[in-house]
Amino acid sequence: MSGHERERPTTPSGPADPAWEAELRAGLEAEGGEGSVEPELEIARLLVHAARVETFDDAAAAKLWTDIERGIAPVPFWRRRWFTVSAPAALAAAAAVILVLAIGKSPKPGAEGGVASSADLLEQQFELLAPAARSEVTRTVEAERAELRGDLVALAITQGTSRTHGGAP
Amino acid sequence: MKSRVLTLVIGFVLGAGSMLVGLAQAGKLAPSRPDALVALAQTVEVEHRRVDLLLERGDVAGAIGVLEAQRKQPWLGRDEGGDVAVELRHDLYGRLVRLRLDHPDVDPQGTDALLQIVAEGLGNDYRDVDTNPFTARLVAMRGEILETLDRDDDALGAYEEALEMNRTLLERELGSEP
Repeated sequence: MSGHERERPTTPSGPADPAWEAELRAGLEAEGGEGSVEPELEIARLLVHAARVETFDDAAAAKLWTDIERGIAPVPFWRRRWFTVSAPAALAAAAAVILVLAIGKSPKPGAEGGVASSADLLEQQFELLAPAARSEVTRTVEAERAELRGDLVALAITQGTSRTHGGAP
Repeated sequence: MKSRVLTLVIGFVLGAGSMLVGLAQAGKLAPSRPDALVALAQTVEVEHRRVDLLLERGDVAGAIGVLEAQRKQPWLGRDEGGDVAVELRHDLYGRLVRLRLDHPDVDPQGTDALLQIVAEGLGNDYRDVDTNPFTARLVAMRGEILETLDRDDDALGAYEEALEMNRTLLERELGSEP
């Protein structure tokens, strides 16, 4: 591919010809140098520039697109200025928050974590002590029951004895 | 003659029985209504067995229901049933609160309600009762509930009280009670 070309027709004797301006100035000086042809020259230069053949090959296009892509491509956030400033500050803040939370949740001596472990310890102690205590309660109740039974038997005997010995007229 | 011997034997047996009861209750307040205590102990034992069976079947709600029903029964006071009656109450309430704490999704109760159950079970005179593990457990569970309310200082106090009770009991078990 030969690239993009733009060609405008020029007339060698016209303003597109570089000699045209030299001839114009020479003629002006020959006539005494009065007046100004600068506006006309500017127009002439513009026409010359527009008429000039411009080549726009693949390499130039690629370079152009590379420049454009470089210009419009977003900069990675880690290379942006705000990140380089704010990232260390954010890291420091996060570390401070974690530290505060860690301190807040760390077991206070004899509290929170200590309390939880105390609960487990107490439950274990209960499991250890409860059987003997239940046996003691049972023994006590059985003793009370035996005493009651004895009282009832004694009462029955006493009543039976009194009936036997003192009930008859 | 025969009846005199029989009366002597019965008197001896009753005396020995009274001595054994006295030894068994050394340091404990004896019941003024032993008949009521015996009846209460029988009832509580039967209900504990029923709870055991329900828990074996995985019926936690049923077990809690049985214990709640027992909670509503009139309990003997310490003056009537002695320390043993209070220990029986603390044991049953402790089991109820333990189940409620371990299964908060079964018939859910708020922490205030749980604290109320514990206070009701402990009563006002639990510190007068001879040291026993049932009271210690109930006090410990009060600490556990207070902990969930973030009342750390109160929880710590309850745990220390329970630990002190258990320390006394362990010393007794080891025979090194001062």
